[in-house]
Amino acid sequence: MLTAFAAAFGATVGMAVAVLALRLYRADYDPAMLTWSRAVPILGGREPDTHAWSRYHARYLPMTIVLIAFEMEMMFMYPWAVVFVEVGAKAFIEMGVFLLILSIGVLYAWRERVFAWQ
Amino acid sequence: MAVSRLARLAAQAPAPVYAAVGAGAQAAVDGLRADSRLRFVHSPRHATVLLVAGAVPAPFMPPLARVHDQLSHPRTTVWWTGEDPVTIAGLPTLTCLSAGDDVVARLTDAHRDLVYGDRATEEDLLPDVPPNEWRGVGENGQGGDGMMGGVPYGRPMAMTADDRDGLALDPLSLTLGPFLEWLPPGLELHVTLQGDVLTHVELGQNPWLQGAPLGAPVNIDEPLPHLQRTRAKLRYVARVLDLHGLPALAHRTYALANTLTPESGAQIGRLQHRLHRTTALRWSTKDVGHLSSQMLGSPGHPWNGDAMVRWQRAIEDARNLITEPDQGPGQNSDPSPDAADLAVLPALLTGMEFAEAVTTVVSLEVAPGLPSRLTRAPR
Repeated sequence: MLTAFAAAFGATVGMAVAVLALRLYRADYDPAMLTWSRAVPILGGREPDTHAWSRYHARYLPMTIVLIAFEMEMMFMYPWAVVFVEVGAKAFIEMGVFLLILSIGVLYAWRERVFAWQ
Repeated sequence: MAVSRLARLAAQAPAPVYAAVGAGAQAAVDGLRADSRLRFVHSPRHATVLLVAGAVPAPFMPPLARVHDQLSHPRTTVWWTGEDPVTIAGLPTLTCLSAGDDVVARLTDAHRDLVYGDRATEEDLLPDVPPNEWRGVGENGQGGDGMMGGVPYGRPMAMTADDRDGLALDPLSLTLGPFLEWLPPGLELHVTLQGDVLTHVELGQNPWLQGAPLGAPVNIDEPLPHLQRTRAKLRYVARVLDLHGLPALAHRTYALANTLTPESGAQIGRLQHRLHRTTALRWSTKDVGHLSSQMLGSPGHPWNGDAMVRWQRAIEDARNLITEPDQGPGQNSDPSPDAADLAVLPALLTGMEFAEAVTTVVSLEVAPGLPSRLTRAPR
């Protein structure tokens, strides 16, 4: 009982602190309050020559695809394995459809050379 | 009241200072780094006080104003000239210090006044407009030729280009400016970055490196010139430590450099032993920024080797110099590097990742520049 109250109180205090911090330090992220000098990256005094709206590489993408296609599939197969013996062929076909959908992702990753070891 | 208690705590904390080092002032500023009442920060955003040390020529005033505007509020400026006082039109609360002033006390006073509200925060010096206006075709600046449509704020949109890792990242060109901590004071590097790989490096002109070479004493009143050179080498090692994420060790080394006596050989030896056991520093600097004799033009150049060899050689020289007094300046030392030697930087840094480039530049010990009256300040 007391621990629940303490947890609720702690959460309220935490949220109050967060709100106050956001109000106090608004100048650091509020675009309306930011001056041009503080919006420009710190380069020691000069400004950049090209625009900051540039593309960057999502290097995590191959790992993400592999994670979802294999790990998350495994996670769903664990409870499925428990009930499969009782239910029988219906469960088999449902899992087969699930794996078929995920295999589209695997095929995409394969064509994107995610599995090529260089 | 809770606010004033917090204010009192904040005022007692070490004052966060960003040092914009001008001509001939590097040694003087390094002398302050050992003081525990100050905290020298790596970025203007973390600083309360901007310490401008030494002379800043007129072409470098706009970058200095930009650095000043990048400090977070509340902020103030302290100008340590050692000569005539400086007045800046937009800074009514500018504090000017001459050679004889107690700089640390004035910095901490400035910080305390700001925290308590006795001094107002300084307003921006540069106007709050983009340096180039938006140029486009439509009434809101939209439209224009090319795939990206227009030149927003006068800067071209970055287009892709082939790069080292086959990622085709956008090349971004910028100037690493005159008041960065890891560059020699006043040096500008015009670089093009793809990701964090430097694909093109050009040196800007550095007017502050012309002057006394490394071996010559910067302070002409110093009775023991070899102590001066030992102090310079220790400060160089401390800078390497500071910029590689070892602030406590750097602080100890700066303190040792300040309290150097002819009997400090044992302390330097202990420091050398401690540094040789520092794995992280060795791993950061080994095989980074390798300079060969062909690139440098002479076999005995002090910049020979990689970054690890350079700082190890510096601490070894410090330990040897303190036990052997010289007959005169430049007798026991190899030809000192000066501004002309920095010409190896573009070829050396091109193709490096940014962290490697910082390690390389920091490992190159350059001449302290013209001697200024700052170094005659009494300790």
